[in-house]
Amino acid sequence: MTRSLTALLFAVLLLLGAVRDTEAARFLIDTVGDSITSGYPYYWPLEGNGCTPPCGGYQPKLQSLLLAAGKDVLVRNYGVRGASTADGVARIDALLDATTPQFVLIMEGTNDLLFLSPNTVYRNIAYMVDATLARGEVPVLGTIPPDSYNAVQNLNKPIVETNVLLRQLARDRGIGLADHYAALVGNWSNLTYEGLHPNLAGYEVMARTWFTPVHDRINAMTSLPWLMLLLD
Amino acid sequence: MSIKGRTRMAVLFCGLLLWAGPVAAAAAADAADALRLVWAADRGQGFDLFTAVQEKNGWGPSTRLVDGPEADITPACTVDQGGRLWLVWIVRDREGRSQLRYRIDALGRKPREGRIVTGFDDNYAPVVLIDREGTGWVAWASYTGSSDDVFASRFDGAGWSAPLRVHAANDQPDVKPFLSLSGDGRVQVTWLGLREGGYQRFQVQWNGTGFLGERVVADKTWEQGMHKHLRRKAPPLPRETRAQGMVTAFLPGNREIQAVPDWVFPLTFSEGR
Repeated sequence: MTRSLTALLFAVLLLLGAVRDTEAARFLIDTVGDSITSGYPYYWPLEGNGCTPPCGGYQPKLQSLLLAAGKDVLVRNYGVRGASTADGVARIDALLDATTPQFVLIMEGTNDLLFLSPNTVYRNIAYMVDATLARGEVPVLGTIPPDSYNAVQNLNKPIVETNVLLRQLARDRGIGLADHYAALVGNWSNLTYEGLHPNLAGYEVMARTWFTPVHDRINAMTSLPWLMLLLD
Repeated sequence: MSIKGRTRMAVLFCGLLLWAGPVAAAAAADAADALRLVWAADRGQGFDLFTAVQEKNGWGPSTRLVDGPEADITPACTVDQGGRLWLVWIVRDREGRSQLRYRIDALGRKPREGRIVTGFDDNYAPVVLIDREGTGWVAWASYTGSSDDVFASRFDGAGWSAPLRVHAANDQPDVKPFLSLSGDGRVQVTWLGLREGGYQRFQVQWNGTGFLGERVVADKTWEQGMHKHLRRKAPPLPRETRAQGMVTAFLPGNREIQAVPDWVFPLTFSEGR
């Protein structure tokens, strides 16, 4: 009798899983940030409007990588040229109210470090991460890419300091991290357009860097309900 | 010296006078109605500070104000009743420390300049203002070890007073200060503070002994006020000022809001004159 019930339960779970798979609707992934997110200089005229690939710098490649991995996703571009993390704080709630994504990729800070300390940039990004988590959506955090364009402003140290704080933030919140700085810095001169923005090869590296934590989070999201049911 | 030689010297002297002319004219023009810009730009020797004054058909020639081996960034300026340019800015060294510096022009004599001691290594986004008594004020943000806080200091003729935090101590970021005068001439500091629910704009007033009366200023009210003061025709900002977002416009003849840095409020003048 017990065995029959277990078998029945297993069958129901399988059925639920099948239903879920067929429903596995498109995961909406919003990318939030500054001109690097908008895709400057290759694609930025429609900045901040949620345009979808081929719009963007890293977004088209990220979307194709995820699709190739069997994840039905739509990557939307909400990068705004010149945006600061304070702008991000101001717009995150209204943006997520309007777009209701499952995933939010957050990466900015390049425009701030002349005017704000690394600690304040970290606080602003933490605010955006927490706002995303509070809505039950999944944030994935990106470190700030290198900046040789502004090297004469001695900005490298604040970027490195900010990235240390962002890595800690990802650990503290248990969220995914795409470490763009680490992925780009070794070959930055060949991966940058003018020292500040990535070139096409640089955006491809960024797409691959986003891919792993996003893919892992999608897997976690799709497998977690099963796990929860089995544990129940 | 031969007549030829004397003629050559005279031509050279007149040439020097002509060359020096626009600089003197710029300082005098500030007291009238010409906008002045100060900005940071890299012309191949690291970031230095430049200035230009609005002329009839555009911006006049730019003059290099500060030329140092380190990065000179985020300049702000005002001009006092005597026509002297007051300049404050940040010098960022190769170790990433950022000092607050000032320069007060002396109209032909050596300017007075130096460091404003803040007590902190990381200082940001200074602004400067002259009050109705002719006293110079500076406000800026410093990272104190736990958060960015806003400080102010005033120039007593001999030097700058000890920095005074303009708000109660807290562990939240307080950034991007702005200096103005109230209708009755009190010095006001307005800044952005991150609190629950996002950034809010706060304002305090100097009462003679301290900054008091902290209140929240509605964004709409603030923006309307700034737009009102910036409603004047000016040529498009020089291309060089747009790249870095580190330009301040001095608004002559306006004693309440004397200068607006673009990191505090976007400089969107009406195009043309």
